[in-house]
Amino acid sequence: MTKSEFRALFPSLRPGLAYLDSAAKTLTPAPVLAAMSRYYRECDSNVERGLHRSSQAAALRLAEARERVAALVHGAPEEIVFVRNATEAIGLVAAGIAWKPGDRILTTLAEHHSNYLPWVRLSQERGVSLSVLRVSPEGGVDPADVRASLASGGARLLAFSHVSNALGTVQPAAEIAAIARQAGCLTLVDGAQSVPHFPTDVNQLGCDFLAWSGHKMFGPTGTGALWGRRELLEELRPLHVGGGATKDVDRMTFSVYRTPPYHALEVGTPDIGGLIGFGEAAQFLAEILGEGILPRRCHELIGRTAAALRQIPGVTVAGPVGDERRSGVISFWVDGLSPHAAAAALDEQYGVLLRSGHHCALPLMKETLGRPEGTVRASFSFYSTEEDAMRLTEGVRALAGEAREIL
Amino acid sequence: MKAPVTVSGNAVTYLLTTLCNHGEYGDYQAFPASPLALDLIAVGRRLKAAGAGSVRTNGQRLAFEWSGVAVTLFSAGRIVLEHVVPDQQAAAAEILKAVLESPGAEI
Repeated sequence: MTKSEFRALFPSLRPGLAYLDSAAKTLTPAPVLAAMSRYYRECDSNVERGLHRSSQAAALRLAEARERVAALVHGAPEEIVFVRNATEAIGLVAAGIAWKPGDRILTTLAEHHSNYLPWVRLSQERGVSLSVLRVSPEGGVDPADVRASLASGGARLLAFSHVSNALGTVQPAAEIAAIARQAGCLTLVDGAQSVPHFPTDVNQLGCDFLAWSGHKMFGPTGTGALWGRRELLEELRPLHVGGGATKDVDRMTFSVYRTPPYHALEVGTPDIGGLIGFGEAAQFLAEILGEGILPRRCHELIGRTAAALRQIPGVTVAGPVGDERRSGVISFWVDGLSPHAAAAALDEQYGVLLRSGHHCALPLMKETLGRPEGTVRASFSFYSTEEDAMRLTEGVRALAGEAREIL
Repeated sequence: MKAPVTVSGNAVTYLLTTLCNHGEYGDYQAFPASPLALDLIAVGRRLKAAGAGSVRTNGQRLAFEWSGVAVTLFSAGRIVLEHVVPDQQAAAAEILKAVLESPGAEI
């Protein structure tokens, strides 16, 4: 598929605007919109426990969505728990493990708040100790640091992101997970920024949990998944109890279905249409990743754009210098302009839509970059073009070099 | 939250959004429901006369300081407010009104 053909699948793309905020939310392609609409038009019913034909039709589409989402990461359908987003997936693990005082959790300074605050809260409320691994100025986790930290006292869980949402740094996730496994430590990988950009195989990754969001991989908002090893999912204490998961209830007791694991962990009516769209997005993404051309071109475009921004006087590009360690995201700042003012100007004056601030990564911004005010973040996807990149670089060049009349 | 203001005698509805921030102060953006057409040089001169500090413009964007808040105002009416204390939308809305309803801010 050519880039033009691919872009034609996205009805929200607008001429004259460069959408560079895909790390926050990817645009939604027509096949996903159609799948969601078809659910509401053809089998607009609730799933599970309903035996009428419309309910069964909806349940079948939801089951197929689960299969597609599982297949995207080379997992099994019963290893998938549908959630609203990666934040909820991680929260499910944080709240579901039976922690004991003295348990130790390991995480890194490069994390999104959603993979940081749950562990901080556990350390504050449950007597769990938390160790935070430093990262390099480029945002990289050193596997040697992981090994040393585990050797100094072991840990129950290591939680880290495969790709930094703030800097685009790709971590050596399989190597880190292997070190953790050797030390008897479970791993949770935040795949929110990795799953959308390159093939992910949970078996090769070697992790125990993988969390990611549907809305960052061409799916609708309100969807996401937690993949987990089945025996671990069966042991998680459900976040909620209520309809859908219950086997029997007496006046003061109840029991829940624990197999497949998602029965107990997905409670209440889900966003059925959204999850069906998520499944369609998973298949859509799997085909693009399998073909490989558009992802490769996107990656090359990001590398060229980062290099072009680095050439502009007064502009600093954060994150990895080498293209092989960067995915999806370019964070930068312009001397003399706050990130919010720069981002507003890029939108208002140059039609470049991107994000500014600390990107929910304040420890990274404060301690690694020394910039609590954050950065401007341009994030690309497979529909991003040379024109988008040029609009960005020319806009940044103009901002960096502009003269401002003092009144 | 919505924040109604009066600009040059005209009622304008702004949408006030909280931006990424940290610490004791807040950063906000306010976006008008319909684009305005502000003469930023004229606005800048009048706001300076009304007490704004460090007033600078490139014609499309006006930057200045107002009561300790760093303000960036665009000709279509978008406004970014940084370092608002206290970090509350109501405080940001007050700054918004003070800037846009000052004698200098006319469409």
